[in-house]
Amino acid sequence: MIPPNNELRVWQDVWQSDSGGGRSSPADLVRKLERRASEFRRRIWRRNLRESIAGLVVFLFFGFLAARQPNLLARAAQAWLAASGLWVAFYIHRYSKAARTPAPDQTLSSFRRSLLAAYDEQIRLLRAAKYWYILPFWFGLLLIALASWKAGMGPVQVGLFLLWITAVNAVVWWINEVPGVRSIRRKRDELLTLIGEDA
Amino acid sequence: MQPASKEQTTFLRLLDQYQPALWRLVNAYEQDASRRDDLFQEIALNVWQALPRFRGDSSERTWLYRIAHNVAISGMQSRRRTERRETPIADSLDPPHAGALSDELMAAREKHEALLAAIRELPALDRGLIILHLEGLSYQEIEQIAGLSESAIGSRLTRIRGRLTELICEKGARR
Repeated sequence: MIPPNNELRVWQDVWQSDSGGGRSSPADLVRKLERRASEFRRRIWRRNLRESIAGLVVFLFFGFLAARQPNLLARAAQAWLAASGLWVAFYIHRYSKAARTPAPDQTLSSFRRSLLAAYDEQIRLLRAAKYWYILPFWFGLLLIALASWKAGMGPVQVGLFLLWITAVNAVVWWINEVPGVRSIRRKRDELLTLIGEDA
Repeated sequence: MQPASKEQTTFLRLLDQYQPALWRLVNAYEQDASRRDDLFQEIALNVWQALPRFRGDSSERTWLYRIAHNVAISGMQSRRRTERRETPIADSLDPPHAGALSDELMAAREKHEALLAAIRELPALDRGLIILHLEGLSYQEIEQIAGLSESAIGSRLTRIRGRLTELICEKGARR
């Protein structure tokens, strides 16, 4: 049942005759927007600061340990972990930008594509976490285990340490790969349901 | 990102010119009366922040609608997630006292509410297209906003209008 043109005209009149209940005075709105924009800037600044501090803390902690290590292998392991902290902070900072909400001044179709691409990028980051996040730390801890064994630690203790670090890293891998990816996938599916598959 | 004074003047002019249309859009996307202010501010904030990037490749109107619809659609998604955790506040269009309006105005209001309720039943993109159509934009302007071809818009709008008529009839029959 498609409305004829005159009925469409009636609908347009009905629609446009409504003022929409607008309540914002421009001056008030500008004040509110300035507040929101500054809150948003502060939020981004705080997040960047948190990421940088976390990377720096890991770097300083393992850097300090590396500097005090007489054993070359242990020193290399601590230095590797220190560098891993910086690397992870850099990676998060660099690639989380790509996964943020796209600019809204594009067409509805390309905005939809960009939103989907942002979700795909988040999934890619979570799936690749085993390479850019888990592997560097696991390898550094592996070097520490090796250095400890060379320094005289018993094979059982080294084995338990290896088992523990592998188990912890496996849990982190699972959290990223399974619930993490599932949650982003759900959001992506919701978006498709909301906007439509064929847009 | 604070726009310069020229941009601020443009922003205020745009807002003054399109505020009723933006509020109609907000009403169509946001059912919860308490959240409409937030959505309107979110749209205005995005317009404000995007203004320094506006190069006049399209008309101000199509540019503004692009931002408004995109912000409303992405907001819809995050609000859906919030709604699962919260009980939504009942919709309110601030109905006036029945006695305060003439029969003609009451009928017009009822028609508008029926149309609005039917639009809210549509998927987001269809909602966006019909709003643009009802605002009186040409197919060419809608193409610049939606990024779909004119023929796709034409066939889609025919389908949406049919669906809208069905929804209005269904709701009318239920009363």
